[in-house]
Amino acid sequence: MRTFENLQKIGMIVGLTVAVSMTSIGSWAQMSASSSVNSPLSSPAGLPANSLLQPFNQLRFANRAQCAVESELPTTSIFAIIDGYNAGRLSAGIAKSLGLPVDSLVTSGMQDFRLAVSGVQSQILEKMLRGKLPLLPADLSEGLPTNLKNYKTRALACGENVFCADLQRYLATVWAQSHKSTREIVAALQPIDGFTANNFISDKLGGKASCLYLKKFSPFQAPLQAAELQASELNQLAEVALHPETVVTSCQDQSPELDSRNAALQIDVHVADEKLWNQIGFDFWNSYKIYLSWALRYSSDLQGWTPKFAQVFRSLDFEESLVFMPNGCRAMTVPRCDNQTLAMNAIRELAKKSGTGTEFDDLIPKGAENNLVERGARAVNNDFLGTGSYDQASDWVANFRKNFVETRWIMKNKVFNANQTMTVIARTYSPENLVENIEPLLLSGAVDQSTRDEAAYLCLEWRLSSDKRLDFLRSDIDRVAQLESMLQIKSQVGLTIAEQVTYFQKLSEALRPLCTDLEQSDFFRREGYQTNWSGLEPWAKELTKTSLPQDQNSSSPVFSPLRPVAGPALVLGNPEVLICANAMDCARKIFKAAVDLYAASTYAEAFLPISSTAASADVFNPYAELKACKVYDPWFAKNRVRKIFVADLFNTALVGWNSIPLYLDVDFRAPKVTSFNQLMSDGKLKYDPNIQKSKMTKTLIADFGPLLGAPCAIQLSPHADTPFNFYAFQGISLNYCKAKAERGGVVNRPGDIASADPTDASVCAGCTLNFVAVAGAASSVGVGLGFNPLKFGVYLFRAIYRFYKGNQDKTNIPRGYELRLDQVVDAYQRYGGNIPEFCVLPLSQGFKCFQDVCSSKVADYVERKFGSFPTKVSWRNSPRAGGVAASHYKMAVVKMPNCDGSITVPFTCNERSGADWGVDKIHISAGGNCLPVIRRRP
Amino acid sequence: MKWILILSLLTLYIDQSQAFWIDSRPAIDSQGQISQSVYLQCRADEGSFCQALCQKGDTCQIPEPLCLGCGGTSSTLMRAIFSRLTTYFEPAFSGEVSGQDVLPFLKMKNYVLLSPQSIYNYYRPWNADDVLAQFAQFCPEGAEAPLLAVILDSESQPNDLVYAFCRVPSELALMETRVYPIFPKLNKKLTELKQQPLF
Repeated sequence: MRTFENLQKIGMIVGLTVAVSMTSIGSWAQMSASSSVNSPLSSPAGLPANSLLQPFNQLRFANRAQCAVESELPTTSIFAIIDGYNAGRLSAGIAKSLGLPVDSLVTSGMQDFRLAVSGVQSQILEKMLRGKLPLLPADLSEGLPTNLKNYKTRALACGENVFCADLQRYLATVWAQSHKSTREIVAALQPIDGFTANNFISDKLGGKASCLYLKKFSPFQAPLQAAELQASELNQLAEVALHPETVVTSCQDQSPELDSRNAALQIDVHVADEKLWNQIGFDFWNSYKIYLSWALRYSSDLQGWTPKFAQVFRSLDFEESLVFMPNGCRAMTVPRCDNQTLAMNAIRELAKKSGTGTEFDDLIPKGAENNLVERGARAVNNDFLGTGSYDQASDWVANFRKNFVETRWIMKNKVFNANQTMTVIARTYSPENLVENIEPLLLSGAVDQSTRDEAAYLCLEWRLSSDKRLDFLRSDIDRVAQLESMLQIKSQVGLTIAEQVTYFQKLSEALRPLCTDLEQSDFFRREGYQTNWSGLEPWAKELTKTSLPQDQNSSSPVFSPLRPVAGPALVLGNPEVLICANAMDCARKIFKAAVDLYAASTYAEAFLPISSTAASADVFNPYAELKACKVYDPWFAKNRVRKIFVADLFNTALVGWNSIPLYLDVDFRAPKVTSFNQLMSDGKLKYDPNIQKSKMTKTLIADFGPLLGAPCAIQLSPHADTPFNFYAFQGISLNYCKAKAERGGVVNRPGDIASADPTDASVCAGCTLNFVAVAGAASSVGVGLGFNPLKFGVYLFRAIYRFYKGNQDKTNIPRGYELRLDQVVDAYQRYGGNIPEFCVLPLSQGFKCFQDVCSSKVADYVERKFGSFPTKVSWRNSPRAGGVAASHYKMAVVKMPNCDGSITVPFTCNERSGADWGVDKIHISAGGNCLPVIRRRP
Repeated sequence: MKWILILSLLTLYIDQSQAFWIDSRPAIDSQGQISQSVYLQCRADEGSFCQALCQKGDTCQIPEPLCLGCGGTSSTLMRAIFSRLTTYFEPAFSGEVSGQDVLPFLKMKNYVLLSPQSIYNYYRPWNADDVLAQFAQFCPEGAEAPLLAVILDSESQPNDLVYAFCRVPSELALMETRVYPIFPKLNKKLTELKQQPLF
């Protein structure tokens, strides 16, 4: 009897607890039994068919975690950043040669350049989407077979250089067929390389391209600025969509007010089959870039767009003038954890307003992978590149190009000057020869302060650059000769990169005995001698800044190298240029050149002319490489919440129903990348992350509470963070608590940055007040290990609550949605120019707006099934059976524009979230003269 | 006797130089299209050279081929030519090339001719004094600023600097071009590096 009574109590209390928890979670206050709405207009509105924007219609929003997930998917929207400088300079030279007015030809040249590039790329997009040009595989690695074996062989042999004769001819053959039908093209190309229809895009993709010149960054680029939009922002979006000419124009707009020196184009590919697109998207963009570089030189398309300049524009360096950036979180090329991805994506630092003082200015770069770890997780979708800070989009482009071109020039200078120095010295003196000429300067007897200093600089710079054991830089410099990126730089003058590195290595070995002797002898320990380090090369000062006094002593003269009586060691050219003053100076210049080569090589893929196609960088998504290199795991937070829920349920089952005053609190620390191993593979530098695994931190908590009659609790925890207020303490005195550790990997606001992992233990002991008296009181009910239903209910409630709360994390649980412009405009027009708050949810789910999301879904279903958009939707709950699921079962009454009467649609839908959607198709009925409507389906 | 000697020397002088005048410059045609071309002009009584290149007449215009990436700053060769010409190159005045020997090169049409006014000069101001001075060292005294011939590789990219075309001024009423080969200065074959003993 007692057991039965207890069981009854359990049942009631559990049910009550669950019911209470279901009603108290979130804001359920407004759950209404029925809903109805009047649409102000009788028919839906939307974007006009001839809108400048067509077919551009989609904005894809994502939070940080979703951005990381999407970084592995191919984008459907890109920015093309066009710099008219090369075209302008060419035009200026032509004008001066012909005695024409320079300004007008320059303006005309830059405009023609912009129009020609956007025109040719549009033609290529059309050809590809119509199945006239095949998709060329982006990934040519061993493990990925392709039926285009001929292409793969040629591409690999040519180093994927579009202009290599073999590959160039192959592309010419493919292009020559592109005016025919797909079937004819396949038939013509099949003998060339086994082409099939699968190598071409079919109508199934439903692909359409659009190209817009950006006058201003606007709500059309809202996904770059926010993870979601509120009603007021939707209004702004609708206004701009109805008057797009204020912020965008056609790519072929020839208005003279448009800036052609710095232009940003937005190119969108609208696809019907997203799954198919995800399979082919990367190959699509790879092919696009290849065809573009090829066609601008070898096809007649350029002639069509700029008859005036076509013949001379062919010789322009287009790849220097174009950068592609995916618009949003998705990518044009698959992000990998290698130097190519990291170096290329690092150029986003140059797109910031203050794009100076970046890692590219370092004399000794830390390397892209170390900057990645240092920078760690960062904000995204908050306009961190400041597109909103500029009035015109061209101003943003101008800032980016200025920083980018300056940095590129510095990098190229390093390589060019290193080449000159190395070549001039190496062709004149062998390494042994140089050392032979150094010795008499130092071992002759009378050596002055300046010469002794110079020897000190020589030997220190030798140690820093060449010593294999200390390896400050030695292995980095040695590796430069193996990097495919550096070897692709054409050395048309002077030594090759490999020859330069070899000379450096030989000089390092030749100098070892001399410097070792000097260091071991008393040469630098002469009485009264103190080395003045101010003349050290800047790169060596950078490495030794914390260990050597380098400030210029005002009383000592500025250092200058020893000038032998017979004259300088090496001069060249007419007029003469001093290459090096003496043999020591020559050797030091070799070391500097080697260091410069290393510095340039760290970001070679971004700044040096290596690739034959235009660069593309994931400028707007820092999570592309963060995810690829495992520095950020977008699924960690979701998995953590799930694991904690399981642990909480375990607790509930183990101790939740009895009086045992124990609780096992678990939390999971995010796996952390501490550093990278560098791996050379086929001349490419890849990074393998060293990961500190995710650890479960455990806290065993003794909750004595009122069991002892005193509200005391003891907590002993290796991780002081306990987000749930079950353990909220009041009045803790500092005497009882040691300093807490820092927070772990999860952040709470979108702008938060993950900080260091916790290290210290935290001990709080002593009597403290326990806030959650419920648990305390619960533990006093029942005797010994008897069932404690209230405590059980509370533990269960807490588990569910923590799970629910955890999944509401706006930043770290992947969350994204798509907004359709035509639906936003439709809502704007139907609600008299003011989109109501309740429209946000249906619009974010891809439905036209009604008063609630379920009405929106019914309207959408009816429109798709019966061809007309309803004028009114009202529904009521219609439980078919008892139980929880029945609350989602509803009956809608739909008024149609083309019949009197109404259509009745039974459906299921969760009115809070729109989930659990389904239609009972069998029981759809109609009254009045609407019966033919449901029978006559489109 | 003296006059016979002078006439003989003059004939020799004339025989050494080529009876053509070469130029490279942009032009706009009647349809408004801009092109970069090589212009050849031959002496009326020495038509064979021009005919070999132009097929007919004693003047012709040969469009320059695609010079990949020349309108930019990617080519180290172009950079060396326009900013460090005398550091990297020098002519061999003693090895003048005859018209017959340079004809095959001109016929291949895989070269561009550069001057300080070239549209491919992206490194120094157009017609800058320092560039003029460097270019001038590649022709003997008295000749006009030279045209430097850069040969293109199979990818149409600048590959090597090969010839200097030195034009004798037209006041002499003779159309004459002297062609000298150019060598990289820092090649081990060269012997004219300036080098001082170090101590």
